[in-house]
Amino acid sequence: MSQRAVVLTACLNTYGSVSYPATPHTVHEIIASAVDANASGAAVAHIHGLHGMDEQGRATKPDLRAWQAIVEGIRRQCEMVVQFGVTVMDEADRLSVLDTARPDMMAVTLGDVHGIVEGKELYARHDRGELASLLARLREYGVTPELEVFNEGAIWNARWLIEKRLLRPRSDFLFFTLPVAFPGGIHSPANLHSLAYRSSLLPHDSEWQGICFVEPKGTATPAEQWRILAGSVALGGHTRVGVEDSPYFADGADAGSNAELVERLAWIVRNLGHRPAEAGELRARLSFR
Amino acid sequence: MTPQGAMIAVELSADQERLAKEVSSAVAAGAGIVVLRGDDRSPWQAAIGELRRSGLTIAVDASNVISADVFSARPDIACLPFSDTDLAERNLYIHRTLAEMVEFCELAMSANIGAGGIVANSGAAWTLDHLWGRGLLADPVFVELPFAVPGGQWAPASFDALTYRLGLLSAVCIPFVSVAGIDAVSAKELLTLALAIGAHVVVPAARVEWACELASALGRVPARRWPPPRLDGASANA
Repeated sequence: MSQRAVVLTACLNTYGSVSYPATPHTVHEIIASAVDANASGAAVAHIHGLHGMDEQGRATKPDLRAWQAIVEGIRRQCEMVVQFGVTVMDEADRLSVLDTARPDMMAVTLGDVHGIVEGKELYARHDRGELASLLARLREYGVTPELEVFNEGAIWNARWLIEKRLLRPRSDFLFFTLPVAFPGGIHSPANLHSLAYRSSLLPHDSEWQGICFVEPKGTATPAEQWRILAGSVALGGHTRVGVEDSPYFADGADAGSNAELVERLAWIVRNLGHRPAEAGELRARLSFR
Repeated sequence: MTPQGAMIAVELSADQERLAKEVSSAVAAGAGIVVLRGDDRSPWQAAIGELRRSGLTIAVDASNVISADVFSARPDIACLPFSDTDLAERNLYIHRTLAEMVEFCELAMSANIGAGGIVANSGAAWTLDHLWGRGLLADPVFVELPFAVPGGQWAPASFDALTYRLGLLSAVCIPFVSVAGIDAVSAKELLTLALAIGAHVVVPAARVEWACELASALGRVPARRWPPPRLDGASANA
């Protein structure tokens, strides 16, 4: 395969009680982390904006002003594509951050989410009616969906959406995320067969990235994660790294920042004979209108 | 790989009048298990006595029935989907919590009924492993692997999909492949591939004879007793 522009996404943060030294917490820290990750080779900033917290440390309602400030702050400093991670938020909250902050991309999980996070069950239902209305809203705003495919059923839903003309291969930029190693009912094993198989079922003219969750949030080891990330690129996909998925360089070795993780991933991409995509060139390809 | 006896499970209709005829023809054709599916107690509960006399192993798919009903009927095996249900054709969503699955397995154990499961995707395989790890399932585990069911638990009727899912199962599982739309060529091909690599199959009553003849032609004489012989090679490497 000739040299490709590989889209690297930096998943900068998450919410919940798991936190690492490299996790940015405030609006300013998230913006700074995005800008640094962009300088290291990431074209996309996948972010979870700020939320209120209940007494158990669980995220409650989104702080809409903070989500908006993060988008504006990143846009002021670089061309990075801003992508919202909203998988476990309810429909009303997802729509409110979309309406308020207008990212460039937003996660759309193509089916129910039934996972285990920090020993607790997490359930978010995304039925086909909801998917249809969310995609219509994204199209109205020109926000490109990041289509999450935890298993083959999600691909059936993608085909259903294509049949309904709510996703339009060729004219839309169809970008799928294939996660592995998220524990629970959405689990896929941390191996390349899992990625190769699911990617083979995707619509023509679509792109995909492989992502991997590391213990304690996920079921993979740090070494397994790096094999999945490198393997995603070798299989023709894109990939992502950052403290949402794992803060580790290797087993037992913490990264100091999201930028350091991106730098390492960019090195792997170049070592394979490819290059990290520039944010501007990805932005030019985004299309969902 | 040395594939041994194939076990043919027959999926019976919910119509009580047809059920008796289906049982006798399934027995004559070589089925080893009946799989009962239904939304309520009747008619399958009423038919349990008759089924017992047939000598077939009785498995109940408890996807859409109240757990307690399943156990009071005293089947040999009770199966729960190890994932949420999302059937597009019926517009049916059922969310199943881990706690519900744990309770189901505990009830099965206390009633001395084998718990089995429907593994529609990789997440369901994770859940099965989780339940096994907690000592809630007994060896062997009856596992149905459905394919081509429209909706959020769909997977294609393809060899890749089959070997991928088989590769997720531990050695304690005895895999039974079922395919929606049995008359499609792709469905028949998948069942043939399943039998060829050492798995077992679930088919509707009208297809039992076909499946039994096919299994025999592939050197796998239909097995009558649960559990069927252990297979070396019902895996992704087959």
